[in-house]
Amino acid sequence: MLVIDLWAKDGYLSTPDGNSIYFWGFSKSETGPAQLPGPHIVARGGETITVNLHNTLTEPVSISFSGQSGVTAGGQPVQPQYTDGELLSFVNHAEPGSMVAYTFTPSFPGTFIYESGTNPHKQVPMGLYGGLVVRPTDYNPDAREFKTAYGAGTDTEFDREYLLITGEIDPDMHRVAEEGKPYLVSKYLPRYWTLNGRCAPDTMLMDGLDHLPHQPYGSMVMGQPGEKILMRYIGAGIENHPLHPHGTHTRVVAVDGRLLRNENVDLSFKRFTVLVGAGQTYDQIYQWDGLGYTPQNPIPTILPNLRNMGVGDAGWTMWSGSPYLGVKGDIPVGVVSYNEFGEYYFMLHSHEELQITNWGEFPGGMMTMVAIYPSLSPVIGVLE
Amino acid sequence: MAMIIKRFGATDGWVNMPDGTDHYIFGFVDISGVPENQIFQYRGKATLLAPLLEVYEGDEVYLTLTNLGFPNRADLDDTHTIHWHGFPNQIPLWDGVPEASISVPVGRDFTYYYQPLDPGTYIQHCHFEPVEHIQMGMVGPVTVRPKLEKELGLKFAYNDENTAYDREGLIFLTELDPRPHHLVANVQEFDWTEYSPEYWLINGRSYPDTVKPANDQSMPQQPFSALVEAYQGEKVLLRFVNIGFQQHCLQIPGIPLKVVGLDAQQLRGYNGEDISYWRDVIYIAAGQTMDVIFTAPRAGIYPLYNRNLNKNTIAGTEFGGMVTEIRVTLKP
Amino acid sequence: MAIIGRILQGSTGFLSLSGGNIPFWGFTDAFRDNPQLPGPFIEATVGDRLIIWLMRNFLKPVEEPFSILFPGQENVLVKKIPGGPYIYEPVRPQYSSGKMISFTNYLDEKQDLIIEYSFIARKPGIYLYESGTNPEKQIQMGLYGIIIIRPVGYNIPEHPNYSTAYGADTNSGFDVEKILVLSEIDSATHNDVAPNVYYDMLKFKPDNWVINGRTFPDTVNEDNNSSQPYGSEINCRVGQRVLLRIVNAGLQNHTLNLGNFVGLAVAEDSYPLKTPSLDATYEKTSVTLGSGQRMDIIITPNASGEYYLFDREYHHLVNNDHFPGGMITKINVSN
Ligand SMILES: [Cu+2]
Ligand SMILES: [Cu+2]
Repeated sequence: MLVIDLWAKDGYLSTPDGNSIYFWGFSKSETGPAQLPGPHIVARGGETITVNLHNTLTEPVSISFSGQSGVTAGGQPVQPQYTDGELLSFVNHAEPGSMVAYTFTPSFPGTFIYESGTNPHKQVPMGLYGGLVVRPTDYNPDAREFKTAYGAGTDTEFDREYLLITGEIDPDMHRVAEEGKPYLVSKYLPRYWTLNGRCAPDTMLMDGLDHLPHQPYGSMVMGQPGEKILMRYIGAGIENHPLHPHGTHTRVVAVDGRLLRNENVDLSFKRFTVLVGAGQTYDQIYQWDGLGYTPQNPIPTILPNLRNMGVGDAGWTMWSGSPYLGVKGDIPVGVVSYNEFGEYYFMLHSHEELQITNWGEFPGGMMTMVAIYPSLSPVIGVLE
Repeated sequence: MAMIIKRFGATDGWVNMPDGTDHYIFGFVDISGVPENQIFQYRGKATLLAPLLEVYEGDEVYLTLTNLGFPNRADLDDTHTIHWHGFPNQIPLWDGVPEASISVPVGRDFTYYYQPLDPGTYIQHCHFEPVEHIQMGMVGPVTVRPKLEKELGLKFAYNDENTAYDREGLIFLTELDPRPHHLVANVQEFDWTEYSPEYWLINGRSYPDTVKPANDQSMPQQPFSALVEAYQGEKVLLRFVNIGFQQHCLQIPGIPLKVVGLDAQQLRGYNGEDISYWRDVIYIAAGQTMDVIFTAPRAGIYPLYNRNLNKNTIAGTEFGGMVTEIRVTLKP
Repeated sequence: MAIIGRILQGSTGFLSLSGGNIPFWGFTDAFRDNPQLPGPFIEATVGDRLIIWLMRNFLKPVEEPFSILFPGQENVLVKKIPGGPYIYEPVRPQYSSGKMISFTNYLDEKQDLIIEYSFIARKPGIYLYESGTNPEKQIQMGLYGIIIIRPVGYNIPEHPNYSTAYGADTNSGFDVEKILVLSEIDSATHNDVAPNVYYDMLKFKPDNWVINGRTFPDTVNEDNNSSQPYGSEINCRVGQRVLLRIVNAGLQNHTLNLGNFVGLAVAEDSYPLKTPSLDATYEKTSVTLGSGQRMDIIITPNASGEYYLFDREYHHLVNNDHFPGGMITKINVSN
């Protein structure tokens, strides 16, 4: 039995271009900050989950657990809620200042979204969403065969895993919500696109930074050559986003938390761009094996004099200066390199390229990196 | 396995639309084999699309990018790259992301190396300030042909006889918002969140220009035709590419479409299951490619167009845009 | 192997939407007073020959040439009186000064009396029929409808194809069937469009999101004789197999959340996913359909109650910026 308390609260998001944006989000504790996305919920199939939603906002709030059946609120199956006969919530909500307890038992492993089911045209874009990961019942992170997304024998073993949740922000809409003015969706025009609630380059920073109290999750994907990196995408916004990782394809093994397999028939497929549909989830394995180049097996071209090349034009680079994994070359003087160990960086971004800007300025938005390290601690890429 | 040596110049140019308007572009031009003292004659001659890079699986491709500069914007010293979009197991050096490796300044060269091991339909594009450089036109097709073609002397999309075809067509989708093109030509900034295209293009052209022949004199910088011609009963492979910033839905009423590959991967399950499928509408997102085979039906003309019908326009003035024709005739 | 004949007309009328009454163009069975949105649902069985006569309307004509295109159908034939072709010929796009002006042969009410389209229903499924003439304007104005093609034996209880969408062994058997035609309506476009004048669709900015031509809460009202005749509320019992036949007739892409049920996708664009060689059916809780696409989904509710199906692009759940509205409908599950 897993019991989670979530507080619906407000707060301010920070964007890399210096904006501070009012939002609504879920918090882990009564005194903690609202966060975007809400706290990750990681459970095990068959385990009963109770989520106590405490509403500190000024309008009713609820949580809809997409893809879960048998959800109850206060012991009764969840029901749509009405005010004066008009639909207000798809499921039971908590009135301002009160609480509602949802209970359910996930019967399938997978990646799921949880989000407000009340005034969803406003509350979901305002930030009331989060990710739910359900482990298979036989999950055992210490035994390779059982460290899977969908259970032993489903070809979903992984070495590391990352949750990437997409969203969009129109700061004007957030401001009218803050000022209590009419929230007119016809005026909607997003200026920021987020991964795990942050815009690039903040997406590439670590989890839990003091200066981003409301945006605790980074989006840097890290692994080693040959590892199976499980990327769990969740489309939490209202738009679809084509996410394209450089480096190699992903194999899509499940959608909406359902394994792409019928008995022995495997329906998984490889893509280099996955359209992350609104409200939908995609579980994929990314495995970068490389081309085997080392200083002993050199590249077939000559590395030019880097002073004649564009390296770190913006004053910084993530490159090592070397073609080889684990080797650091000479970066031109005056350029800051964020490369630590000769790791490789591959961009992962929305290919609707206007979305990799912060209010029109590249680089920004829905962009991060996949970092392939020569060796990496096993504590990286663990979801808890 | 062959050694393919190519050289592309990055420069600028102009494209025209059926309403008579001209639009400033950035792009690539093929300068393979051009003597060094003559490459500057190619300044300003970028084409939309970039030249087709067509190679065989296993070939060794040396692609040199030379930054020829922008004769129309001499003040701009933007660097460029080539990103082979979808190349599996790439290393950053040849991935073309300036933030993670190298870009090419004006007057400089850089050689990218690729040994493609997976056949299929890929994309090449510049990754320097990609929102601007992609919208400005630095995009083109890449086709990797399967080994099986050499073994059997026939055409295949992948190494599988079920992907045999007689003819192929390229359906390469982009949009054009004239405002950033105009602003860039006039040394001004554009807020990309205001992106709102007015032209929708197949192979760099808007209908009715799409059905004009390749290398048509009237559009020297838009050399790719989008007209697809076949004899009744022939198998036709359409390589759909979307490198615009929107999702598109293409349909060809009267012709069922078999999707055999996505993103340069044949549709096969983990255990080799044939998971190819049929569609009436090809729904394709930015940065995706789809390989589609159909059998040319009874002779006639079959329109291919965007079912997001509001996009089939020439800047809101008349019908056009992402529209072309499949012309099927009887074998003489 | 019957002949299914249907006489349709195009005409002008009014839709009742959140912004009041707005003009629209729609198909209607001949000699009815008002057009309808979507156009009449036409049902046939595999092997049938469908003949659709599109007739001139003297009372409320559309006043510009229009046509019917049958996406998903092959070998469509046409004849037209007067003007020809007088014997069946394959449909073909129409040109003026070398430029395509219609994706198919059209009816010009100024000179034509009737145009006849015909084809053989070759495979089961759910299909759109829609205007192929100035389609960005005419389909937005409402000139579209639905064709349902049943497998042979669909209505014969002892037949293996009985009550299936795609025949035996396609996992498409159902107890309850509901057609959900998704679209969007820009009331400004509807008010501004004039016959024979090019309409600038760059201005297109829909403000109504509809299922079967209605916005919520009208979606949950029953079928009636209005210009928006088809309700979309679903009534079923626990354990029943409910076939949702989702059609995106709009110009935009839409994502439908299946009422928080996990649905089984059994066909896409009317191609069944389970074939003798492969079971490619798969489960989803929301489905994104591109413009013109169709999906057949089976949900099997396991608990009684009220559930809402909605567009997961939540901004489409409003009427005049007010929630609830737009693309929402309801499933009532009883014991
Ligand atoms: Cu990229
Ligand atoms: Cu790309």
